[in-house]
Amino acid sequence: MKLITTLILLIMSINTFAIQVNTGWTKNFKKILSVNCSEDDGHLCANLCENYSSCEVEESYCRNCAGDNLFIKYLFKELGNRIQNGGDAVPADTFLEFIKEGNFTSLTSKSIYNFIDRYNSFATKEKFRSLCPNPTEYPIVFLGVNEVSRSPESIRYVACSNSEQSAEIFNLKKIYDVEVN
Amino acid sequence: MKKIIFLALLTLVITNSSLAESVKPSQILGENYHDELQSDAIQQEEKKSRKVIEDPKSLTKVPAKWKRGDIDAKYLKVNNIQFTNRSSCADDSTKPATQVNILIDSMNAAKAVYRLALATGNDPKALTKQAVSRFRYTSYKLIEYIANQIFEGRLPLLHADRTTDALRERFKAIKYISKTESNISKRTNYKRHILKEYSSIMEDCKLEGYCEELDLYIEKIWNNKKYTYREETTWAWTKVDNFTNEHFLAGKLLDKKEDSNLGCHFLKKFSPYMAQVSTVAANKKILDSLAIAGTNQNEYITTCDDLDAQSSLEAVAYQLDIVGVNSKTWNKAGFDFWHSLKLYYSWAFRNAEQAEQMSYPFSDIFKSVYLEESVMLFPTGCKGISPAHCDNEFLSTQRIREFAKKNYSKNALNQDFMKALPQGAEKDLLDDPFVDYNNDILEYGKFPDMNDWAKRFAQNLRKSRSFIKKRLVKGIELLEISSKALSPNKIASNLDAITKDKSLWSLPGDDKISIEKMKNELYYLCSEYNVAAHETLSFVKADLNYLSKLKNLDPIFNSLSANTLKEQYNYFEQVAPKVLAFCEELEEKGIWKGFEVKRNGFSEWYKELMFKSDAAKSDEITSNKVWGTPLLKNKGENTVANAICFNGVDCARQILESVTSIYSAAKYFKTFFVNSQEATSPSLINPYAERTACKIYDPWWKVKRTLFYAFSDLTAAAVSYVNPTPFYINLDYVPQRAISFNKMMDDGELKFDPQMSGSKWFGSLNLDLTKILKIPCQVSVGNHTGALPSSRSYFSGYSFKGCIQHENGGEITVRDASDINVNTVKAIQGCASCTINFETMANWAATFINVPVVSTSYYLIRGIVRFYKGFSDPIEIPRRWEINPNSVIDTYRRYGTIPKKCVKRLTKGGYCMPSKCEHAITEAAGKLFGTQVTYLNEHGDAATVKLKHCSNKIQVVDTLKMGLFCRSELTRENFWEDSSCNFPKEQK
Repeated sequence: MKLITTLILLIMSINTFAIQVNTGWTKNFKKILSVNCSEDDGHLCANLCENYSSCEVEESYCRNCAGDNLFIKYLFKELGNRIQNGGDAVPADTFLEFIKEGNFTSLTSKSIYNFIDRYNSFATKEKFRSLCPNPTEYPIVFLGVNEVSRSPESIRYVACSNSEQSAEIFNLKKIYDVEVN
Repeated sequence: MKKIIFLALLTLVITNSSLAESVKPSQILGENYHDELQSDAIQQEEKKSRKVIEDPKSLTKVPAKWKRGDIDAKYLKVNNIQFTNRSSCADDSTKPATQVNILIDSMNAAKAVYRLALATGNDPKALTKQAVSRFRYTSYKLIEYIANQIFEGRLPLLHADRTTDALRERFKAIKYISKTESNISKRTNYKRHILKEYSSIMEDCKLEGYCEELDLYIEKIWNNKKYTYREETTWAWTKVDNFTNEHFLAGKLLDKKEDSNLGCHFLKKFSPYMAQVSTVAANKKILDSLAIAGTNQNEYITTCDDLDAQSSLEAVAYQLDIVGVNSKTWNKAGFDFWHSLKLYYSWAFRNAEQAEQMSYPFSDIFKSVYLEESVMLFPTGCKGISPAHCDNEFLSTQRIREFAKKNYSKNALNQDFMKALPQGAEKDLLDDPFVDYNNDILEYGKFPDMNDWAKRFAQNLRKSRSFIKKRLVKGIELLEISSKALSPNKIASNLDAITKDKSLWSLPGDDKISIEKMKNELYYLCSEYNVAAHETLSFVKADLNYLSKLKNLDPIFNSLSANTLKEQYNYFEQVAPKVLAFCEELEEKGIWKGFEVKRNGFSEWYKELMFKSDAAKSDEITSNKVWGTPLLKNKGENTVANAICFNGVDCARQILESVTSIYSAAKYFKTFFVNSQEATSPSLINPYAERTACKIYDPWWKVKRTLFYAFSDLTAAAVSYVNPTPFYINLDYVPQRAISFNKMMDDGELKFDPQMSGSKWFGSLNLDLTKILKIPCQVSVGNHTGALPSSRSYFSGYSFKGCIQHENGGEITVRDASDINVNTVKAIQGCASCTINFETMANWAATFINVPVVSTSYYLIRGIVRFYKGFSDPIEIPRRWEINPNSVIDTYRRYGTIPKKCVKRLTKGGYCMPSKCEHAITEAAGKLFGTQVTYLNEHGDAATVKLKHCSNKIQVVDTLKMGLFCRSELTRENFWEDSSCNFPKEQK
């Protein structure tokens, strides 16, 4: 609860029947991923942090993400282009298991690592929004990071909202959708 | 008696003539030394000095009051400024530096924090400024912390160079007496000190980007640092690795500082404090400049925590000094020190609690910064941070110095490393073997201040990196897509189709491509593939083939592509034969008979390679890749926007261009890409580091040659004395140097094997006709050109000569390096020459006056003169000078000038006070209290001193009363300070 008071929530929030996912910063500039669980799905949060209603997971740093990192640059450049929604919905418990391992970093159009687009610009928001099948104000992209180095090494999930403002988690895929004439 | 007088006269004349040719001190000085503006001030100070020292010969008779005690120059925790001539500078590249610069590019941290401020509702500008200061503070404070941990024996040194020779050298002093042999034999037991675990990790992780095992290994060491290494804690360290006392520096520093052995300064602008980069030798002019700079010290140098002086938020360069080290220990372990410091630094910045505290509240942001791209270490002088090796990694790292040049951005595209198909860093060594080294090659002096210099340097590096990475990613992506979707056969069939079916030649819309344009396009394709991939015609194929063997790009391919570099290159190798077969067919049909190609349509790499002039640029633009329906496109309509490539010609050319992009990035990998766990540390100031490592330049060649001459002259003198004969043998020594490199792949790394110039010995058999025909002529037969008969004639005069020569190949191209510039073409040559000069006339005269030992005398005298002249060479005989900036300003404050008598002592790194005690008290006042002496009266084992920050005079006394006053470093206890003192900073 102490952290919640210091949490500066971003507007992005994705509701689902089971969970809500938000990202934000503490006043000491630690990145926080907060997960809220509905009453029926309290076990999901309990599994994550032993609390049935909500969890706050501190994101570790993302090695070399603030810089001329080819992986990160490529990701921001190709979001919505070669990197697309893979179309497979991911169960909430699978997603939270991934979060529980702690080897992730989350990105939105307000990412501090995006050095190739203007911060939270319309174009950037559009890139992120193109990953979701339904209108979502702030989709959250999740990358897998190496446990020891903390380097991003895989493009994993996107958290979107559905028409009823409940969250859906999808896998992300690098797609080479090309044709030969 | 007659002989003696004759010899004496000969010696006198020769010595005078040779001295007249010797180099004047003014020639030693770099002409461009910037501080001319200060010459007026120096002259004024000189005038004052004449009044100050009535008797300049006696330094002990100066009054107690300091003549320029008003000067507020703080004691600087810096090393001596080291001046070297070329050969000494080259030789220094094999020794570790104690003074380095750390370039901190804060842009990544600033960009991230700016966005963080927007995300958290903070003021972006204020938060960014705060974060940049904190980032810089963390960067150098963490280095200081780690350095001190190493000095205290809490962190061990890890091998910088794991080659057997290097390890043997590193641990060579550790000898033991063999127990198995009866006689006493000593041998190096270096194997006992090899860190097995560490070596194994580094071997496995080589060139593979991030190395998890290395991080885990360093973590184990870090957790162990609570056990300062000593006999009782050996167990804790041997659990981690094979650590011995030799891996710890504790106790091996002669002069352990109470607070820290690391000084950090911010040099505000190019000044005499950096004189070593623009001057060969130290002399009075430099001492004067330093003294004058000291009078206004705050304008030139300040501490690293003086944030107000650091106007640029982008980048800053700090000077770090490791002070008080034992040079013997340091020369052995210095490279290991820097290597270990960099490894610990990369790990600790992201993992250590100390870094977390230093960077609060930005620790998570800073940990995410691409640290190794943001921080670079480079020596301030000729000594190095990393051992020099003749491999592609070291050579391409050295090219980073180009980014410091003021006009870099204007000339960037002319740099080999920016070209689409670069020739390689090794080429530069062969093209320009004897470069400037003391001419401010980093161009500090061209910038108004060091803020601007650092900012531009970091900017150039950042932008060029970005350009190369972009080109690389584009290449990787195109090859990945093509190899997945476009088979070589498909390309071949499309090529056939477009030549047979002209309807495919249409441009988008109704335009048709002309036959001429089509021929151009096909010509470009075939020319480019012939040059790059033809088994016999191509002269770059061998280089491109290295691509598939290089491992340095593997980590990038792993993160961006499903294919490996080898797989992508294999794809290109499948495409190339198809294209070449197609081209051969076209050639047989004679489609280009009488056709003139428009050169501008060639790919950039081809133009760079084939058209050295700008002629191609003036051609009309004819390249017209956009024609026909796209052969390969993104899913969707057949639009230009969706197209990846349009036809077989376009696709094949793009594939080849992608290969060249990857090749250029691999070739100069270390210029642009950094090791993920170790900051880059090129020897920016010393271009002879790579030249020495690759045997382009031998720092000791002149010494060897002079000694050889001395030996040969003495031998000739002895022979001619024992057996006077008109025949004599002339031998010459020519320094060998690399004239080409054999490239070798060693475990995925490109190394160079220097191929040396031919024989280093040249000789001739000569007949001196003076003795037979009594005319001053000689005949000779030798194994190289270069007029051997006159080489006996050491003194200039008038010569008439003619040669018949038969060359047998192997020209050695040597350019401009004083007398390295010997025209040594391997040849058999016969020459006849008649020379009228002092030597021949003396010889000729001697035959008439019947002095049989003339030849012997001649050789002896020539030996002496050549020996003297050889060792007088200001450039090629290694020489060094050192100046202690603190001693210079102390001298200046004491006498009001730099007395001529002090020049020698000060340029040897010494001090020049009237007594040792005055020096000890002055130094202690600066070091301990941060103050300066203005009056000093020494009496017995005590002194009365007036310090700048004390109202009253205070006593400095020998507290031990053992008659050792001033013989060792003074402590606070020696100073009887009183309440009138108010020192500027509380120094421990």
